[in-house]
Amino acid sequence: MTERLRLQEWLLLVLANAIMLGGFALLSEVRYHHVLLGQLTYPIVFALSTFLFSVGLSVLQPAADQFIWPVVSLLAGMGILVVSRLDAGLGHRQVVWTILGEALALLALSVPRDLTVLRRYKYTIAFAGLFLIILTIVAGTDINGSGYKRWIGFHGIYFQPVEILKPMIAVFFAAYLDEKRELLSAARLQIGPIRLPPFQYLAPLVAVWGLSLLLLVKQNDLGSALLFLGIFLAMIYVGTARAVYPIGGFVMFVVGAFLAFHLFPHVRDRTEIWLDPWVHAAGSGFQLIQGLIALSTGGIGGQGLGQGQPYLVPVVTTDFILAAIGEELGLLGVVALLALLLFVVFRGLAIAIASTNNFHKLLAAGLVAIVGIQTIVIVGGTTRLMPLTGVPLPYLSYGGSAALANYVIAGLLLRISGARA
Amino acid sequence: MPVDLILLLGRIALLAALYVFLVVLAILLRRELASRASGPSERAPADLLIMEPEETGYDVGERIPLLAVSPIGRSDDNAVVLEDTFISGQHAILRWNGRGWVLEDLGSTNGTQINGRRVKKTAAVRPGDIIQLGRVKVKLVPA
Repeated sequence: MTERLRLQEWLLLVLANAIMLGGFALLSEVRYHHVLLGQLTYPIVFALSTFLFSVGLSVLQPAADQFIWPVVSLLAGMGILVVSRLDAGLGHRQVVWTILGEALALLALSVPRDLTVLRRYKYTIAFAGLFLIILTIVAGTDINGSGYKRWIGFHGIYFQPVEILKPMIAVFFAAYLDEKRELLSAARLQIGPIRLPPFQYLAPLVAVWGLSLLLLVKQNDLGSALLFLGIFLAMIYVGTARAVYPIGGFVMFVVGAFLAFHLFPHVRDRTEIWLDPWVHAAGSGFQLIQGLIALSTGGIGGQGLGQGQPYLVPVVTTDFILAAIGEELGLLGVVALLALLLFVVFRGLAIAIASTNNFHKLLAAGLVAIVGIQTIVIVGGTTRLMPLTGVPLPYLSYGGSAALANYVIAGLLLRISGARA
Repeated sequence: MPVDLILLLGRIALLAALYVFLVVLAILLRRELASRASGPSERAPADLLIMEPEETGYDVGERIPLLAVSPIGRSDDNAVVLEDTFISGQHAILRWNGRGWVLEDLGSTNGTQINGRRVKKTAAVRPGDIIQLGRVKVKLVPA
């Protein structure tokens, strides 16, 4: 019985939820000069759900890692807090999505009974993913007027298939690489100084490249395209320990970026905005500049929750949530939250290393790559370290589909950590 | 208390609380690492299975239990004592790091091999691997 007690997790969960509820109390104080209980209903429900999930872990995966869940809950809690500060209605919706995400993660802890059976359905998963993307391109909805159909609607509920595709892709790659790792490690095809595996085994690489291109051209979704390529390169490196793959992938990426710069006007626009946003300050550079102003207004300690004007930044609840965090919680707040995201990545890699099952190892590494690469891409984009490409900041940005996907990732990591060899 | 003061304290408290969380996380992690590293004399989840005993007095197929840190050699202070003339006093050390086994050759006269490959300094050992110390052959098997 005692081994089912997850004391460290509870201690950290109490702290995490106290911080989140304290933040909501502060927000209420700023707005109404009182702590109104009515303002705390949704956050309290969310806090209870995190404890309930912990109980679920005790039952389903008592040996699972005790640190990931509280850290994920704190990140999600801070995300709900910042989103609620920007738009209370959106905050409520985020609580609902997050709890649905928790339910899905709970499901991922126990179904299927043996995780490795997913290997058998790898092509089913891959084709389902491809089907989802094509369905979105053909029958999707353009709900925010971006000019691209990125959502699928069903009775008033919209979801973004590309988010769900992220963990699916990791499962597919893990299964594929687990099966073919020896073939991929053994290089037989020689082209000049470069040795490559037999061509037929490179087919998925070409397929992913094609999928990325499809997302880029048909959806104008540079962020997701970059992410899928990144996940694939990270996982193939973990699987084969051959540097030729990431280096080759990087070279391919540079060539692709150069071509894209000349072929697609929007890629050129983004690069120019990145190099000098001030030229287009009133137009295409507006968002980036507003984000930078928000970050600089925040300074080290921030303006204080609810006391800045982060709502001036376009798309602040999703892609630009970092600007809102930076303005109101300052550099200190941003660094603390990035440290938590970094912790999830490192802990996930530790889980991958500790796992004795190859499929589990690869899957954990891939899931962690999803979180890490998205964080780098959007934080780098918001701070003008690299050209801006829109992806959500994991666990913090508003987004229903993203919340579901991120919680499935957390559930799978917990499950892999709890699996006895 | 004036509202401004409450808001200022609230701001500071929220940021401080985030760092308190990180510090508590770090302390718990440190404890976890410490508990994993402690106990070199704890039982580790593998045995050595004797394959070719030579002069050691063991029988073929006999199992020697391993500790988290198991020095191997001819002298009595080793966790695994193998009295064969081709084995050095302090021959090698097998270490369990909580995930896998690492074998370190302590500069033995007649050397150590894993699956026929000479160990220069240290090498990873997996269950099922055959370890040859001098001329004695043993196999790492799950306990």
